[in-house]
Amino acid sequence: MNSTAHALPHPALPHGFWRWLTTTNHKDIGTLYLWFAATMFLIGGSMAMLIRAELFQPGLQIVRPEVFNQLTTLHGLIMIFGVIMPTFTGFANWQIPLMIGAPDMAFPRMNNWSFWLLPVAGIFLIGSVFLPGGAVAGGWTMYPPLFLQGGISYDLTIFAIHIMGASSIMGAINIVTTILNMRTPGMTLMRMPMFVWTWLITGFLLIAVMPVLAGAVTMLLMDRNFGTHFFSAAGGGDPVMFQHIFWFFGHPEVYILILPAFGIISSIVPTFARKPLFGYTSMVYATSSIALLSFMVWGHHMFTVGMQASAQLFFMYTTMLIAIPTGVKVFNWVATMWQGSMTFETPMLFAIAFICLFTIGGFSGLVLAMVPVDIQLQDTYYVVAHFHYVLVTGALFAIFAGLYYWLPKWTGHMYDERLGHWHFWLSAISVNVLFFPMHFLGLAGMPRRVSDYAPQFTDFNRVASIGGFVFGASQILLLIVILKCIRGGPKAEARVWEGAEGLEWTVPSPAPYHTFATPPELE
Amino acid sequence: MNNLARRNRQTAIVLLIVVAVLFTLAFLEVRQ
Repeated sequence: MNSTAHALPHPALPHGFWRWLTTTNHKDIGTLYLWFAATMFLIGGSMAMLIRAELFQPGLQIVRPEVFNQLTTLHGLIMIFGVIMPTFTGFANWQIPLMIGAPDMAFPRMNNWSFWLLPVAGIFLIGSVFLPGGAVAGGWTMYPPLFLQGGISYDLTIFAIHIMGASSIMGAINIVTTILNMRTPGMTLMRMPMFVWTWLITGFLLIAVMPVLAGAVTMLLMDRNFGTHFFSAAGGGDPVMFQHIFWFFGHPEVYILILPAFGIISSIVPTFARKPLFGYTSMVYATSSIALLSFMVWGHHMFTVGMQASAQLFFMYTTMLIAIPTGVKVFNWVATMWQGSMTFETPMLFAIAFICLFTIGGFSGLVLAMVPVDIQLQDTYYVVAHFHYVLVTGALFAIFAGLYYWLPKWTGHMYDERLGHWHFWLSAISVNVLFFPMHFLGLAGMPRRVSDYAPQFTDFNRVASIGGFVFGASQILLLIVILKCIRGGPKAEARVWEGAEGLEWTVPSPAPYHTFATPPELE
Repeated sequence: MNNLARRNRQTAIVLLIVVAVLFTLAFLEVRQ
């Protein structure tokens, strides 16, 4: 990197559609990822509203059972692959070069390609609704034999997963290479911001497990179309083997969805507590331990397939072990806040809600880790409650926190704090009304993925649905806040937050199109 | 090609090899 390159005359940027299609700028691509995720959030969220409307009372009211199954399946696939993963990749694109003092990502053209694959996959996934037989309906986990029996939309979904997998692998290689090779001189690994650390580890997780998912769905594709019998029992294959391979991907995937969230919270809490992050080194080791352990726990998703007691015990204990590094992180955040000069702007409110509510999801995970308990609760609403606490009040709340935290840096304007508070309180209250009763439904034996239920489950389902409608509606506030912030508002300073530390706060707000053409000096 | 670009390319190639190995391993696991 040298400054002469920057002094050369710049070719004029294309405008409008061509600018976004051909861009290789990490900030542009970050923005594209975020808007793509927002669109998918709207679609996946509308499906959730339909699901909650159908479950408002027993019996069939709004959708036929087969459509209901398509809704739950697509809701899962869209929210995981279309919302949470792309949002974190958007954050990574925007923030990692700014945080490590790099001029851009290591492979800017591959970055463009990683993004533009995603809308194609999204169209295949959602477009399959209109094909004969409708969209995939066997659950987001794609288990055979159901997944071997469906129509053309199943092949299209496999294709979409392949494309999204390729996009994720390219994105991960790009991020890992950027972090390893392009840090400004003096920024050693142990001086990197926690968000960068969590993304480095997430990148390695992606590189390790996305090929395994690709292998699994390729075998499904071959079983469906080319006469192989990898997973079809009729031909001597093993359907349970699919579950093993899928969850060898699936459990690390859970941490792919939550580690960047940990990174965001680790950036926000010190800023608004006006204290350095407590236990930085232990945070790095805890994150790495969580990532390593994530490869040894996949069996806890399939305790009921008939595995040996010794295997059940192994997966139970390894799963419980994860509570230790996770506890280290939670205690570190609390210790960071201890005796800090705290203020409660919207990012901090969401971060504190994250710490409290994600911990509830973590605890219900420990309950489910116990084999005898899990055998009772497998496939009930207790599981639905557990992973929605982890992914909605966990990953999604961290995303909200990150959006409010960095929006002024991206747009150059402060967001409307009053609307932000409204968005926070409406979301934080309604999300608990939505998901907390699901614990009781699960304990009482209500199975997941059903469009109708026994009348004794009615009351809690009503409460959950009302919470769901309020939670869904309050996200309109978020959209208003973002649009208002893009259009105008009080001018944001370079260091937007009084207590913020890091290179990204040394560049003006909005961050100029090109930053750090020469590597910045570290203090 | 400057040093940084070369180092970036080498890193990417190593990571791609990991991807290819793991993809293959998924198939071998089922064949057993």
